[in-house]
Amino acid sequence: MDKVRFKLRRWDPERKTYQTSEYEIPVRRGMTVLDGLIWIKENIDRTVSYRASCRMGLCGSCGMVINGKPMLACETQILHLESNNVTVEPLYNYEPIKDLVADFHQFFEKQRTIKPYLIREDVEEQINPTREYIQSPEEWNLYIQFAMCITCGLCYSACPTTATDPKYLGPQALMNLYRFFADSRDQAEHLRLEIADQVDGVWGCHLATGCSEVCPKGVDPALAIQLLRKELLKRSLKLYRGKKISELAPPLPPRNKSPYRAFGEAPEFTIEKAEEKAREFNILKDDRVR
Amino acid sequence: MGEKEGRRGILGWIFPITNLERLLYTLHRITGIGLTLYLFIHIYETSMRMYGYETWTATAEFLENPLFHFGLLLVVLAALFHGANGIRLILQELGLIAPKPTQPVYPYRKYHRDRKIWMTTILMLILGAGVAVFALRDFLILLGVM
Ligand code: HEM
Ligand code: SF4
Repeated sequence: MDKVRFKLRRWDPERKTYQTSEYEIPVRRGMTVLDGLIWIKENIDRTVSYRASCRMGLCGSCGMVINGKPMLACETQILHLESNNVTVEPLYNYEPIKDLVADFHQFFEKQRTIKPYLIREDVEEQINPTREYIQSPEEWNLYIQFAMCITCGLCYSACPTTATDPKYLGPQALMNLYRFFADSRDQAEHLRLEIADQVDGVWGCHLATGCSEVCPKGVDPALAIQLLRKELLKRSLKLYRGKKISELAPPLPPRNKSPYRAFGEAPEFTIEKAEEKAREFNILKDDRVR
Repeated sequence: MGEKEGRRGILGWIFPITNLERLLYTLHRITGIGLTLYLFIHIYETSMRMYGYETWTATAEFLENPLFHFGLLLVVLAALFHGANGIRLILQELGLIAPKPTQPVYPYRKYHRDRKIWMTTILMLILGAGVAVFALRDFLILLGVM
């Protein structure tokens, strides 16, 4: 079993400084950085704080900076780092709470400003839905990549604009904005372009693309921002034609006109009729059904 | 700029270096600031002409040495990089060569460059490097090496 040295850059909220703690831990194949942190907490130092939940890359809780790169601790295998020293820091560009735990207040505050929900004119239908909205696979493809986000916040840690500009909306919020803009069920396209068209909106991006590189879900926020800019460019050249909006699915036909009977009424079933049919097709051996 | 609200400050302009574009971003910013600085120095230098012919020739003679020639070479290289990369940025940042979104499939890929983006990046880097060869040649001629 290999030994690996974990160096944790821990935020001390009382003294308001960082301090480094080092631990040597035994590593097996398949062990993740999160497993390492759990091992430290269970066997060496119970004061270590970190945030984690699902341990399988779905909840987006365990984002940390591991050996200088923002990553999910649960998806990073220690031996894949190919180093005997593993440095773990809290996510960059977030206010630290304690040790490796970062404060996501601003992150979610920014996401809230872009109105991350479907906005429609048929409000009554939204509150008391009667039917679904129709969306083709092609329309789904326009935004599904951006709906994969797990709000882990790694992208903000890699973003150079976020590093110095507190007001910049940032990769996740802008990507999420495009996700709703491109959804054919959403009708607030003009409002969404308005929100994007700010200095602290898409124009704050300098295409460093670190966000897309570190994203654990292949979401590509940099692409979403470029696509938003393309729409803004079209709009300023008066070439923006609007997008296709999903309609409500038509009501189902009444029960007795169910689509299963589209080819005429089904014949009433009786044993006699069945016997007659069977005889017709010559599948009855002894002239009897029962 | 310190670590206000946990922000990395100017250090975050440079690190983490995750991929090619992230590095190009840093270089673009450094060369942009460098060129602006040079612009002011250049205006100051040429303003010496206002103080008459003698001052102007003295300035020109003062600047006529390998150190300043090397500085000028750096300015030319910075301008070439900044210009070529700037054209790539304009094309890419306005979404003019943006690929279509795709459904991510495990294992999720890193920042995705499709063929258009690769072609533009490589073309611009070649363009910059190509002209840089001439700048280098002129520098060597100035030094009397060539
Ligand atoms: C061929 C000529 C040039 C082109 C195509 C060009 C292109 C660009 C572009 C596209 C940007 C924005 C990059 C971003 O989004 O981060 C930029 C930034 C900048 N440029 Fe230029 N540029 C050129 C020449 C110059 C010159 C001659 C100077 C200096 C006098 C200069 C100084 C700057 C500065 C200071 C920035 C801001 C840097 C930053 O925000 O990272 N540029 N340039
Ligand atoms: S876009 Fe990617 S990196 Fe950013 S929060 Fe969503 S999943 Fe995380």
